[in-house]
Amino acid sequence: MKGSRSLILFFISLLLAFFLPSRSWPQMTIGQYEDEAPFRTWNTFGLTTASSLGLGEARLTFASDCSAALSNPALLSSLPELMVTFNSSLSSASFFKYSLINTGVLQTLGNISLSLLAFDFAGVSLRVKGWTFALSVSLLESYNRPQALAEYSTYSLSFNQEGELKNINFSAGRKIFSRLSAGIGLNFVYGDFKKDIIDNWTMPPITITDSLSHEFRGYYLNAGLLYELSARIKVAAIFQTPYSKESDSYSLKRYYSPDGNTDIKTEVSARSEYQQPLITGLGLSYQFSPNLRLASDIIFHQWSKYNVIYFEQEGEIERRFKDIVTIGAGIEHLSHVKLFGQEATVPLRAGLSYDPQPMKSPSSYYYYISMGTGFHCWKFCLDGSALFGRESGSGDSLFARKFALSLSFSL
Amino acid sequence: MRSLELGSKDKKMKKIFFLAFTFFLVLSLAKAQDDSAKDIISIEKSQEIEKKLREMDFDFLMEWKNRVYLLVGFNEITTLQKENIPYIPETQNFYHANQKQTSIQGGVNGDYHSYKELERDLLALQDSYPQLAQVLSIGESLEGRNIYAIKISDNVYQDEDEAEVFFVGCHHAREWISVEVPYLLAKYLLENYATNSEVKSLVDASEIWIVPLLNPDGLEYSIHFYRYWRKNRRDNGDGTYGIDINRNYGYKWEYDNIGSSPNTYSEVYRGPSSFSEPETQALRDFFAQRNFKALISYHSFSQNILYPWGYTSEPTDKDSLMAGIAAAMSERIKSVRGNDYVCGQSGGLLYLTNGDLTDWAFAEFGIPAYTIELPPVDILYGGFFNAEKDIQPIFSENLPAALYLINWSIENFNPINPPENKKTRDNLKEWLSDRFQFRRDSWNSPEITTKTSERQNSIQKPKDVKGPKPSPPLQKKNKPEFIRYFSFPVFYFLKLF
Repeated sequence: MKGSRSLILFFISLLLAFFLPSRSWPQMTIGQYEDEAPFRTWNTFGLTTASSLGLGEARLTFASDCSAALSNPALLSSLPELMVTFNSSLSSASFFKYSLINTGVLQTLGNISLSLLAFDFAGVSLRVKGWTFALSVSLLESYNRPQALAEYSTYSLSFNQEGELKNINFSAGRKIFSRLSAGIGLNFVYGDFKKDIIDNWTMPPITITDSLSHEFRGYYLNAGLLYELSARIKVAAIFQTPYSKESDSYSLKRYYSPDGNTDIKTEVSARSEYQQPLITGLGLSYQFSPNLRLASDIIFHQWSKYNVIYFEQEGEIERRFKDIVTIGAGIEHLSHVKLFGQEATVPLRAGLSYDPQPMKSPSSYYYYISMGTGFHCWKFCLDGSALFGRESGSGDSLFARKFALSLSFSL
Repeated sequence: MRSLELGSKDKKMKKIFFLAFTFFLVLSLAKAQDDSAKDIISIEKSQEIEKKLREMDFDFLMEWKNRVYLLVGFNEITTLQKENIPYIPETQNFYHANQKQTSIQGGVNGDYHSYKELERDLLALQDSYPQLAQVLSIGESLEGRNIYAIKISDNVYQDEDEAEVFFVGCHHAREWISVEVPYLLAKYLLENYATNSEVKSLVDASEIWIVPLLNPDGLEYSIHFYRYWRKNRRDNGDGTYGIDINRNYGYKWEYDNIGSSPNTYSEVYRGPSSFSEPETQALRDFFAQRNFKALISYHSFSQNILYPWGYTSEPTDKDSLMAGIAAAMSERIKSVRGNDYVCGQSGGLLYLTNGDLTDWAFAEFGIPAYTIELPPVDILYGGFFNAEKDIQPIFSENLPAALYLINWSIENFNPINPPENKKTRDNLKEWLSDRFQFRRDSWNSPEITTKTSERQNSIQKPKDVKGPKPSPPLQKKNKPEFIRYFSFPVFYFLKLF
């Protein structure tokens, strides 16, 4: 008995000795939300409309609308002759460390959340002589952060950051053989970013401004294959080329003191580049019955190659990223109902997904559960879905949610 | 046949053309080399000196503020030295006008150095002057960045028995100019070694160590996140970040709560123990290996030359010596652009500081140790901001003071005589290590003195009130009354078109 107690004490001491001298290195790992990090997740691959959101964001093996062009253009061949789709979403996510918040300057009582309402997709697809073409515009990323304002009697400090990245996609897909479809898409991305930090003193009047802005642009290709192994099983393979998200960047650090007739500006305009990763993926779907099917995707993001040339400075911003794999799977059941004499289909969807973030430290993972339903009647499809996620690994217990509503019209 | 004749004529013409071209090329190169060897200097105007200068037939540039500006080469410099005519190198003041910058900075910090830029430029100096410059890392910061030192001396890879002088910059992250002045000093010494005999004699007779950036983590945070950041990037574990590394040295650390603060959110938070930070540890260990004769720690702002003690308003036992050197440096600085750097004892002139570098260096090593607060003189004129165009002039006015201190160190250097009068790097290290053993013992047992009421009465304003600062970080528990944080769960409607 005495011996076991000593042993326990020994192990406790050993544990203490192991943990006590540890220093939290590196100190300034900001976590997920570096300035250029997209809202909710780094892993933006195309855009998920309501139908695929309900399936745990699985979207490589079957298409419900023309947003398929963004993830697997081979799916376009399975769409009706003409289809028009609109999607809107309400996303919310919580933040802890970002910019000067909770990194030493402004401290919050806990996590802060931000919600974004967006009309984020509009697209049309058209089949012409065996080819299906699609044109769409979508909102890929948002760089918005919760605003902050600290006010004292003679001093205030404000922080504001916003920005977005949009995508124009032109895709074409067709059946090559009876079981094999292929598709390719050309994407043009554009957007902006703006961050302002303003210190303001009233006695004496002094204003320090730190402004940063980017005008983004870039091109990439995405392509995919879809192969029907059997009537029940489909497999898909996709890739998206790595690309350089270039920007015309501008920075101003200004000290303005009217009483001292002082106006000091450090003003820089230069080109920046954010080297976006190669994305490849595989999808698998299984049709249990005409009304029940399962879809799953596994997508690889080569974040280890992520590189930033910041204001023409190589290595000025260092991100320690690793390659990651995201997984999503969902199940869909179709019910058929009659409404006012019209045949209607009501899909019910549920899914799970796993979304690790690319930072090496702290490791951070989102686990999502999603569900959705819809109403498909005559030539219209109305779908709605919700995705709920929790983050673990960083210790900040962040959450992310997304609600999407899409409407499609097809002929 | 005709064509052959023409061919031989052509060959002749070609030869003549080639020779002429070579001649002009050599001539132009020689001219270029001659031009590059020229320096601009200034000499205080007086009738006697004017007469001498006329006799010497110098290239006269201009007169300004009672000084005569001349374009001189190596021979003219030698003549001036023979004639005992004091001069000040001014080339750097004309830097932008007459020469292209060898290293153009960029990024959001403009002409100022970031950590990466400094690393690149220091290594470039080492590559350009391999016989004179050696770059090494004296330690790592909290976030794993190297703390670089550049050693400048003839026979740079030998540990010679010469006066060692130390210059350090950027204890405080937002004081960007304090990186530039020591870096430009290194650059100046190396670039002028071959052409400026004064520089050559100083470099030959000393070992000059320069650490331009002691707090790289803080500087990076200041560049990319918050310009007004001061401390290092220690996570204090209570939501606050940073320790003021110039309150973290071992002498009189925690002496009182005026010259430093026990509160983690304070801008002058001294840390949980003396030398708790890797940045100060790096400097402490570096000092243990060297034998510095004098030092300057660059800061900003307020245009002061400060010397120990900082923890008290009582003077040191070497006050007159310290004051004399400070006055001489101040005078030299003033002679350049007329800027007054008021000198005085740190604790008496400006404010109380405990646990700072100069007090520690003076107490432990008995060496003249100075804090130079660079321009501007007042918060109204920029505070911790300096315009990019002022970097060079600020350096230029500080250059004579730095050269003076190097020269003073050389003149007051008593060569050490290790056993058998034969020194190698290893036995020097051993010897120094023995010599400093007792000091190491004292590092972690700072003397803690209870503050007296008199001392409290003599308290100067703490550094915190020197200018507008970001208010203390908003505290969760300690200071809930300060919390005025607004988070706006704003709904943004993101338009597509």
